[in-house]
Amino acid sequence: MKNIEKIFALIISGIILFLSVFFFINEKKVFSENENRYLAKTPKYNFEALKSGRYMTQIENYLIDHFPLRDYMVSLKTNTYKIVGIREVNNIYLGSDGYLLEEFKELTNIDKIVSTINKLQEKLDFKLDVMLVPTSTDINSDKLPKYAINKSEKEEINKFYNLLNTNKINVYDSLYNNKDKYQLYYKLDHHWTSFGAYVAYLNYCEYKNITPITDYNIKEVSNSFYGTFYSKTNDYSLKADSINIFEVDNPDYTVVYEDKTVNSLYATEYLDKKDKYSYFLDNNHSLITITNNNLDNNQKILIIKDSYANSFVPFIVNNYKYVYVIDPRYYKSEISSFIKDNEISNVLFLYNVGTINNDLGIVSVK
Amino acid sequence: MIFSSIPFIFFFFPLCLLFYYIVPFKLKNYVLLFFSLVFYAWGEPVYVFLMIFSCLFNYLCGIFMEKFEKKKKLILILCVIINILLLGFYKYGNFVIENINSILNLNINKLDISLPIGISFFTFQTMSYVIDVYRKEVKVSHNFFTFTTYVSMFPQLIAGPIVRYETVEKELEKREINFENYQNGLIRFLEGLFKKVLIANTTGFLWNIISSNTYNSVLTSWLGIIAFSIQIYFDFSGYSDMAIGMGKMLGFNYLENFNYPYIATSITDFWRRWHISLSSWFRDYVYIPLGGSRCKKIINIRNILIVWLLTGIWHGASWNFIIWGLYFGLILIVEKYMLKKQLEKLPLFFKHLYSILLIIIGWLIFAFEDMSLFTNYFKSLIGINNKFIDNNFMFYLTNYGFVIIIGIVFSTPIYKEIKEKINKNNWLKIILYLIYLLLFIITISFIVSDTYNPFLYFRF
Repeated sequence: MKNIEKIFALIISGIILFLSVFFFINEKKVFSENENRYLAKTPKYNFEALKSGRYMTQIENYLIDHFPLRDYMVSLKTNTYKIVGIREVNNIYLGSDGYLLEEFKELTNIDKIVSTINKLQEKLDFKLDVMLVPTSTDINSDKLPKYAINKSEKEEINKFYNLLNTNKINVYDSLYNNKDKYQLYYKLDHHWTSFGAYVAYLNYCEYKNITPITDYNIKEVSNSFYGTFYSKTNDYSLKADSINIFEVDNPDYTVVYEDKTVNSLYATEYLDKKDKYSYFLDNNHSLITITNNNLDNNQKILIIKDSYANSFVPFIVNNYKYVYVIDPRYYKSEISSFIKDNEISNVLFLYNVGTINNDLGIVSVK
Repeated sequence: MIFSSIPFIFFFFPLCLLFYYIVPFKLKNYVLLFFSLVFYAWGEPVYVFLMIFSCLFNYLCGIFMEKFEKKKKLILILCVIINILLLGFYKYGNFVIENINSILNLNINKLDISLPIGISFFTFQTMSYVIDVYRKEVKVSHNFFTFTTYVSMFPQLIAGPIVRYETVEKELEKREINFENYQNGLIRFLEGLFKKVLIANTTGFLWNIISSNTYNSVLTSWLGIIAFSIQIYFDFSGYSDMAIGMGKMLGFNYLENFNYPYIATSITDFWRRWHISLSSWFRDYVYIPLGGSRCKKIINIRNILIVWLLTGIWHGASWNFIIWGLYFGLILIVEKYMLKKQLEKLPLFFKHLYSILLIIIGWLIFAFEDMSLFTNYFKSLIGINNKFIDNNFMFYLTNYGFVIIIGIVFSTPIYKEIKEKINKNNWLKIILYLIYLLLFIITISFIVSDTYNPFLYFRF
């Protein structure tokens, strides 16, 4: 039967034609939520662009970015990898129990970061507190694929701490000891959960010798959180994370952002978007000032941080009447004068070890 | 535009075929020429004129050789020199300047040029034409458009095979375009695409990881270089398969470029199986004119060394390629004059082992342009200052072992034999093509995923 090849050739040609025609009639998206970036725009012709070849590159990017079924294709690739035994996609390990874990690499910028923090310390007459948080990859290393290549975060954190002239708060051990009791990290995202932040909060209070608040109503605000790791693998077989918050009775906060003042620590509108972690403290801002109107202790704290702090702040606001949150990626003024001007005597650096090395926003601290 | 990309598979090639099939035969060469020029200009909007100039120049040389029969040797020599100068200027200009600078301690500015894609391939094609005209092995082309169509034909333009004019001379005027050729060509194209995307890219990914590690255990190093050997064969032969397949869809029959090189029983045998269009080019246009092997031993050794020096240089403007070429030249001389009898007596298994080891060491020279990286890698292969096995090796093996085994199996003719049996049974054939269909979809998903760039860390 010669026809089998013929039918096969017709089917393949049909698929190719169908997809290329579908490309033209398909509505073009402007922004890809999954990839968190703007997709290529319609190419604009001019002779210069043609001569340099830029015009052709634009056309190619346009064809690629708007190709039908893009997200499904990525899922198919991830699942093919799983079938043939490959357990790492885009630097993300496909772990057990529905966990995705990012490969942790050595902190190569450790000297730059340490000297920035030490310089700030020199300008102050009290000790800074530094908390470098391990990531899911190390704490949940039992979920890693067999033989997965991974550097010990504990060792890197210790290496980092040994170079600092500040106070150092070790949260590694308490997180590790609580990993079976709570879900400390999201399975599909690079952040810790409110439970992880809670464990670190208890740790912090113990270190500072203050009384932690332990009476909370735990509330699930979303059960459909597909985080950043998920976006890198698009594995449709994975189950979404839930987001929980720890609420006190009758909260009364004043939260001042650069451009607005609200009375909640949470930005509800993000729960309908893909980027649900931004529910905590409304994504990232250069400076946030939070006042807890239920407290009258006049205690102040400044937190210099990455996004891990966003789920930590809801705890710390119960101990300090005034909480200032600075993200040095966006805050470009001098932090030491901010501390002096506001008469702050508690400063906490809160970063996670997975991104501190790549996000050099911290280096601009002065 | 590479063949294994969304723009090529879903837009350029279907559109080209559509026009190609609907126009009457007289116009088909023009359609092909038009699309080939667009294809080349897509990547080289300026150098496309260089390629057209090269075609025009060689075309005119052909015409002149016919007109001035008595002076044709002079014309040929001039023509070859200019071709080589052109190739030399663009491909080796900066390499020569770099070396002059470092040897004589000078500071000559580098040329502001980039390498025109495929120049090594099309220059060799046009040279084969003028030499064959001189030797009266082909007729002089009197149609510039047809000649340019031959040189610029996009399936073989940028990565070979080097198609000689004599191979397609008749088909340029008259060829069979029918559905059977279309379907067989398409299947061949897909097989090449699978080889390139599923195997070469995946093993290439592993090689990139391992070769950029600062430390590798002995077994990891071997796994790495095996992965590279698989990558380079599947990449290159996959490209040739795609070219041959597309040629068939357009009605052309190109010669095979690979014949299971990794099952070679000697290095001499390997070079009859690897990149056949290149080695036969050097054989017919350099080695034999120099006297080949029908001459004194010492002249023959000189000839072999010249051919392999040139083969090395052809692969790229870098010393490691020159060493790589000479490395094979020397092995071929040793095989020919010293080891011939001993090799023949070896049991088959040891013949294979001997060949594959030398081939792999060759790839090591080929892979590292930087001599110190080569030395480091070689040290870790033979276990100087490193562990024999470590956790990383187990991870790479468990993750990529399957793909590597597939690569090894498909480097042998086993599949060819299986396919012959399958073709006798309709049910098996249906299953085979269902698998192909699945592989096609998976291949597309791999191609799309490679362009998928989540940009996630600008806010966290």
